[in-house]
Amino acid sequence: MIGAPKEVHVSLSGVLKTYDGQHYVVRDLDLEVYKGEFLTLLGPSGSGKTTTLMMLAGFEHPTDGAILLDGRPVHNIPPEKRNFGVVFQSYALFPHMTVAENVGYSLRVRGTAKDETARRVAGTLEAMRLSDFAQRYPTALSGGQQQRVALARALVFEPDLVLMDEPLGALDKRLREELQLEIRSIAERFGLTVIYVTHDQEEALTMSDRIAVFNNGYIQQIGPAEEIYSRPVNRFVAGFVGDNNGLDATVTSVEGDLAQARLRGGAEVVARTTSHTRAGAPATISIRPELIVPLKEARPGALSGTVSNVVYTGDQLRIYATLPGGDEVVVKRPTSATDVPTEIGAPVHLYWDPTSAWALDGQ
Amino acid sequence: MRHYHDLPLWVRLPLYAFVALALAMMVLPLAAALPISLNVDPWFVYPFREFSLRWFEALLSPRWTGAIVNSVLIAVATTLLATGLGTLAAIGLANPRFPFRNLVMVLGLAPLIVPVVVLALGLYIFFGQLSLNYTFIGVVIAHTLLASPFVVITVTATLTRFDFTLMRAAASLGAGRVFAFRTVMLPVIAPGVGAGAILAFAASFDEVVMMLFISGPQQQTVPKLMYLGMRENINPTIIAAAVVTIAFTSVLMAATYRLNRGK
Repeated sequence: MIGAPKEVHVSLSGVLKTYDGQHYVVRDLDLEVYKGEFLTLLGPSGSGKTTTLMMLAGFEHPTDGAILLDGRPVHNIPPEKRNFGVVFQSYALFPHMTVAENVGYSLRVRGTAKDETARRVAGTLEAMRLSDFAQRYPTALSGGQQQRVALARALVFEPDLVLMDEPLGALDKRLREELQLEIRSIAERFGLTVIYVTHDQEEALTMSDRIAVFNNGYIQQIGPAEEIYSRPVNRFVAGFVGDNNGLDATVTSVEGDLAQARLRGGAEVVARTTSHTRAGAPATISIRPELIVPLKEARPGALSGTVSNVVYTGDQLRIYATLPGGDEVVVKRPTSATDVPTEIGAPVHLYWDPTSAWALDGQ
Repeated sequence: MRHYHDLPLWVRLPLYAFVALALAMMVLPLAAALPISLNVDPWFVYPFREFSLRWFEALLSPRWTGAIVNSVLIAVATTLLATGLGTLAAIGLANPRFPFRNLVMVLGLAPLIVPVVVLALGLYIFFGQLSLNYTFIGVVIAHTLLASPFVVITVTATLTRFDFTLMRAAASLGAGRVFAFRTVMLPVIAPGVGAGAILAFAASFDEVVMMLFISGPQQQTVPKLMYLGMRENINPTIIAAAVVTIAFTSVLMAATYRLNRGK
């Protein structure tokens, strides 16, 4: 993806969706999806991400706005004429058809010749490592196998776009991680343009070229995974994507792209400014737990507090510290790190590079 | 989980007895009536003087064979019509956005509740205007009215377990609505449609009240002959006809049971 020329494949412009004329599920949505891109729509339930996907698939009709595929409007085309592959959370495999019949269904609809159908179904099943299951019925398969069949069924007719609605939501963690990588590699191998819906931020970070973070029917931020994680534009994104510390503060002064802010306990911190930062205005100071260095000795620029809890999670230590104002800060350190205060009640000094903290919108 | 077999014997025995009694109440009347078809004498009495198949032979007379053919023709036409209409109605009513859904559902099922005599009288008056009385079509329409609710009920029950995402999946794969209905929804809900069709067939095959009002003398059916036979010259032929009817319906039921189990 990186370095390739970006050709807009799908675009939504000014898309609105309301069922009752008062509450908007999706509002003023503008979104461009590039050819060959893996785009994830990430957000909590009710944020509008699934409705957006359903409008793309054609199962919902936008109240206003346009959806374009290669510049041609498609929002008035019924789903069966769109040529988009859709993978559902519930798999939606036809229970009365074998795996091969399920996968071949789209070709049967299109009147493809029998031997051509057989060849393409066999090829797709092989690519999905499902050849041994061709004559089985879906109920005789595990959840992971069923989801691979659903994916094979959505790919065999060479769709212009692949839409996935929380396809791994019903699977256990280990299988989910395995399939994340598999879906990602298939998307690359087939050169697919994928729009993927999930509420799992880890999944979004693992799989996507770009992530669009949804909340309240708006896209809060859209960009590459790394950018969403390390440069969140507001409190919602910072809190929803990855673990995060959000400290309530008041901006005291702004100098260049750095702001000085006072925490509730009176301590002063420095953070990078965002579009929300105004001197005298409330702000949320956002800092990732793994970017904080917990020290035993005080140093200039470090916040002082006391250790309130220490949790061992195998690969890392989570140290919870309470600041004088009552704020709780979580710090992540590798288990191998030494020189970390781990006694509950011990003083701890929290230091971070001012350029890794952000002054986001306040409460 | 506790199983029925874990219960102590003093609890189980009365339960067995209760079930046996309930089953007996259903079967005993048949056990009392059906053997009479084998009695040589034209009376409804036990014990028999001699066994005979003469009443079954009487069924082979043109009067009865004609009635059997008529019954089957009417029941088949009714089944086709009621199954089609009832299935479509159930699918429409399964949509939560169907306007006045509960009201329409109640109206659709009303023939099950309203006394058949009332319906028959209404149809008789109505059909008089349309010249449908004493016609095959009129009888089939009347029976369809009675039979459709059975299909609506069985198909609705099946649809509550139907995953409508399957229809979306079919659409995304390029299938238009009719194709998706034929290849995805219908095969999945077939057990419900089949059960409804059997009930519809039985409802028509057994029906006598509508027949008395709507049908003409040229439309004799088995139940109608049985009813008329009761009033005129009562003899065990009607019991023989009942035996044949029950055997036929049992075969149908067993066949569908096997079909559904084989899936």
